[in-house]
Amino acid sequence: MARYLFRRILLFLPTILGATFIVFMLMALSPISIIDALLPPSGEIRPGERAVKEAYIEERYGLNAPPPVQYLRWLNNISPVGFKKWEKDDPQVVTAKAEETQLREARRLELAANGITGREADRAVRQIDITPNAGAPRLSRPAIKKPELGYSYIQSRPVWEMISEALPVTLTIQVIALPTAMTIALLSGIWAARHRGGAWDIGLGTFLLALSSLPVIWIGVMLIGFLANVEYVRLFPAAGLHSVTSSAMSFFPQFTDAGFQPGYLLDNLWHLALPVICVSYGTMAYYSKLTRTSLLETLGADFVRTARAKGLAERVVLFRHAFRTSLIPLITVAASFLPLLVSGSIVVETIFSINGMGRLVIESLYRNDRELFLSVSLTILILQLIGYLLADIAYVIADPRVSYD
Amino acid sequence: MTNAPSSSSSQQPGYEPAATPPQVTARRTLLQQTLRDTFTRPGARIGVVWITILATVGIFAPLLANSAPLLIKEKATGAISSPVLSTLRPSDITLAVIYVVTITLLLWKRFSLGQSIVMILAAGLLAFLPSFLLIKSQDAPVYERYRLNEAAGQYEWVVRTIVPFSPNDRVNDVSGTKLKSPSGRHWLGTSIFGEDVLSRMMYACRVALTIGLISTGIAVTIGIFVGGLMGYFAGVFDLLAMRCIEILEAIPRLILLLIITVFFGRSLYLMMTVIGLIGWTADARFIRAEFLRLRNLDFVAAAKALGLPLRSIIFKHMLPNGIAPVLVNASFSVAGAILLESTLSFLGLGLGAEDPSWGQLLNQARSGGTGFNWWIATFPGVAIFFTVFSYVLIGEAMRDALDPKLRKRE
Amino acid sequence: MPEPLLQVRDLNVAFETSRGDVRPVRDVNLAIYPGQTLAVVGESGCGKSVTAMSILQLLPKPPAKYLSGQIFFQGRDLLQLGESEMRSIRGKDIAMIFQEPMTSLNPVYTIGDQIIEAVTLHQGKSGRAASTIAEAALADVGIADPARRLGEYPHQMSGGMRQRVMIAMALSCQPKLLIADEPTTALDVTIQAQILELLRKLQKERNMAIMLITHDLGVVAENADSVAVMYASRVVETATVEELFDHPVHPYTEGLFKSIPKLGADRHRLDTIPGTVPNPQRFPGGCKFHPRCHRMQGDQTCSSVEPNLREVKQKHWASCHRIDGYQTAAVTVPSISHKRQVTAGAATEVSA
Repeated sequence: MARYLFRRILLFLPTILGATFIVFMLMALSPISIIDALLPPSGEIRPGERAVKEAYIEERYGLNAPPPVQYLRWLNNISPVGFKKWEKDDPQVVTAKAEETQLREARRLELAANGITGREADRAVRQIDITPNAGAPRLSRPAIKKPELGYSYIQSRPVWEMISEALPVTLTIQVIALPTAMTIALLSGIWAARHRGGAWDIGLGTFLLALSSLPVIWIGVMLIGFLANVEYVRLFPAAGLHSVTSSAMSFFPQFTDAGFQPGYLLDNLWHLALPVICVSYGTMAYYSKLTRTSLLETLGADFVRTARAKGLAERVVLFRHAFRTSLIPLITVAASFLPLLVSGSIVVETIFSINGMGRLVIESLYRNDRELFLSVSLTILILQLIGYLLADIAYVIADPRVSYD
Repeated sequence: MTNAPSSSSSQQPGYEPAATPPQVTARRTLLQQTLRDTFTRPGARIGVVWITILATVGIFAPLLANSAPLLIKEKATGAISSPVLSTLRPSDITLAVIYVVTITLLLWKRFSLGQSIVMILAAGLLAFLPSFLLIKSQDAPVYERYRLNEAAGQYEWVVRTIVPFSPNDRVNDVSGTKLKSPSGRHWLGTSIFGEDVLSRMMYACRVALTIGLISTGIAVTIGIFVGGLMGYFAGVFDLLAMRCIEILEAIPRLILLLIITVFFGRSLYLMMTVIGLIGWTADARFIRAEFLRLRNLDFVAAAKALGLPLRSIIFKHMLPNGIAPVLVNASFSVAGAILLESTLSFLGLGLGAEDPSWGQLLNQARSGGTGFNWWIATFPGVAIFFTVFSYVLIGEAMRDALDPKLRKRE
Repeated sequence: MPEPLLQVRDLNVAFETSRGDVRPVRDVNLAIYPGQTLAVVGESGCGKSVTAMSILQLLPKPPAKYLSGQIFFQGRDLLQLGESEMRSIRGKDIAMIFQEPMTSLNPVYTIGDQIIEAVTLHQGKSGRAASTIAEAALADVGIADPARRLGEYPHQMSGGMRQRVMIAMALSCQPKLLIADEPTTALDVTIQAQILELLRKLQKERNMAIMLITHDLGVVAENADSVAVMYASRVVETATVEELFDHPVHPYTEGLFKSIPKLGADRHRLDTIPGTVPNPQRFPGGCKFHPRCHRMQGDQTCSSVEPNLREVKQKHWASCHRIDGYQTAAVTVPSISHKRQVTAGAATEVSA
């Protein structure tokens, strides 16, 4: 089993590399350059300030190198196995920097003589690049090192810190939503399969089909608009994950002189209710239909007939024989939901103003915060692959025909 | 063919029908049969009706919702003119012509599918070229012009469109029109900019329908091509392509789409292309699986033994057999594309403010000051839901019609 | 004369479909005596499997419904029993094995789990005792190293092995009647012979009755005591195996025999029955066989009056207007307690 898992994990590596490469190249090849995106076009307070900032960004992201090289540099940063980096005060870097500055100044003067100044000149000057640059990997110094996710440009904070704040928020929602959705889906799916063909089955089927077609953006807006709104019904909070005072609350609900105190736990659940509903109803509906189909397929199988011929009660036939076997395709499909959950988080966190991974995606993307966005994408990818891995393990456990090796 | 090719009802568990097997001369007739079977189901019919309504409304939107009147008679000169016509763009005319020709062909049922497609394309081209050459680009329209003129009593009579507002008409001539709930004047209320919600929703049908169909068209084409090659050649090519598919599927679609809209600009065409470019993997998987199965069957071996060219084997012999799951998936992916577009627009990363879209309207439900603008939330939301549901219903019906195992059970 | 173990009387089964009812079983009469093998023969779709499934009431309801008739088993009418009473008979008194050994075992449980499940249910034994019984059952069907095999999954076994497991499972509770629905059709010829041999051996040891459903006349000739031939949801002829093979009277049975090759027969071509089996939704009027029948020469009776099963000879029932003496023959309930004189292969058994 361990060997099997190890091999699976190794097989994930190319996927991660490929996916991050695509994401990186899309960002790097954008017609909107990262410099334009990060620096507002106007508002130069002191002359030359912009040029300094541009040079800083250029150095920070190694923009002189072609995009694939930039990608490799990023990969080297985040990888635990890689190369040491050139530091700012390494003599080679200092020499190169000095030479570069000298050459650039000369070029700038030359351009000015031809009447080219301002941003155009800045851009032209930046073409001159003398290696090594600080931050670039030293190919002669392979090392096992601490992965660096970099700093967020928009918040000037370590990316690692931001992700470790946002990830638990998103995971909390999903960890509540997914098992709930799956449980309801399995139960209703089994129920529908048992009552197949009846009016209730058809009704439930249509209802679930409709439910799975309901756009999250609409349901989210409607729920928050009608149920978390002073104008209508203020049953739920409109934003955030807990009340302002929640840190002062006791964990469990209790009755005090002042009446019922919801406590930290209930307060959190109260805040989570609407987002969880939004994240889970679609999955629930789809999965329920799937459970029904899968179970019906198994109920028609020969071995179910054998089980009935043995004299087993219908309930035993259903749960021990049919349901157990129909779990196998259900696991496979459950794994394919994972990318959808990410999209769900993005939308739901935007609607309910929750500072989770989805919000980070939107924010970092919108502000072209390269390192933040890449790391957020990477985290999402890894989470997804962990999900696939769990599904693989579940699959192996559920189906004795699949062997470990 | 004495027996109808479907004896579904006799297929009971544990009981083999004594019927002779359905005599299907070609699989294509079975496919046609399935399509017919699909659209006799109530779910699919509801879906088709709704989509037809949307298409009609979307295509004739300029004649249904326009700030320019349909007809006016000027007092001064006594001349009767139709200001609506001057607002039409070449695309409006082309779409309308294509629509009329398509409906005619559907009702007339005289031509084969291939002929019909050629005729529809020809009609579109015939309509597009002259209208493109004749209609000059218009200046920024002054929406309130006709309202002001009418108020000034310049016209003897005016025939207005059903909704007398263009989608981008912010009704600047009347004060306090922003964010108004439904009224006799604005049936579905106004947006945060004072535009008529109904008018915007009508024009948004176009975006919703084209994005679904075109992106799915792209996805299906690439999917069939790549999947077919993978399944036919198998081996190393299959292995490599499969890794690529896995990589592409690992990146959540919404994120990929977000990256592209943020970094490459917002345009309907780009969005359609990209949704198509990232959506082909499922189709490729289906076709690949079918081809891998089919290539071992005798009739493919026979076709190879006859020395038929590769193209003929793939398109004539294998594709008609493997296309079924792709067709079912296509219906669902149209629904998915519509959802993706509205989600993007909702996140404020979709089309620009000039291009109406349901998702973009939904986004205004909570923005623009305090409170909750229920009309902006409800109506576009219902429109998205109905449209997505329609395609899902059609897909479900098609799946039921195609899947003999499920058919047996009903 | 002993009482029959199982007697099916005028059984009528219908399936509800969107295009009206289909009647896969009409007026079927069968009788099986203890220790006897009754072969039910017919082409696919003639209703033989549905008859078998009706005995255990394994047909899903709906769409299946029992229109009329009785199925007496040890004096009780199975059709009148409740579901829980029926469950206590299934697997215990009447067991069934199926055509597809590859799919008839649950892939996610071990062989042991599946046999022990039945043992626990009907014999109230569990744990050690149950697995001892399961082991013995596997040994009985000739599986070597049964203790190890109990822990194996179906996919680790060959088709013949799985059919043995199915038999072991069916026989683990000592049933009085075994319904074998085409038990060898999906197997290789050599394995077929082994499985049939095994069934014969176990039948002899336990005095168990077998209802053998097959379309293979060779299997019938070697195993059956009495035979019922079904065509288009009816029994058209029933007699002892010797009588039927020597003197078939129904044109369909005749046709069946003519269509099997005989060694040394001085013929170049096999006869076939012209036409195809009719669709149950479009049965012809009158005798269901008349469109394919060579005896029918413009006879109005054949195409308008449906013949019923009559005792045309001593212990020989058939339904055909054109058999000599059919019009005067008595309508009696077919019941044949006969046991074959010579068992094929072994050629030792002699009985009354």
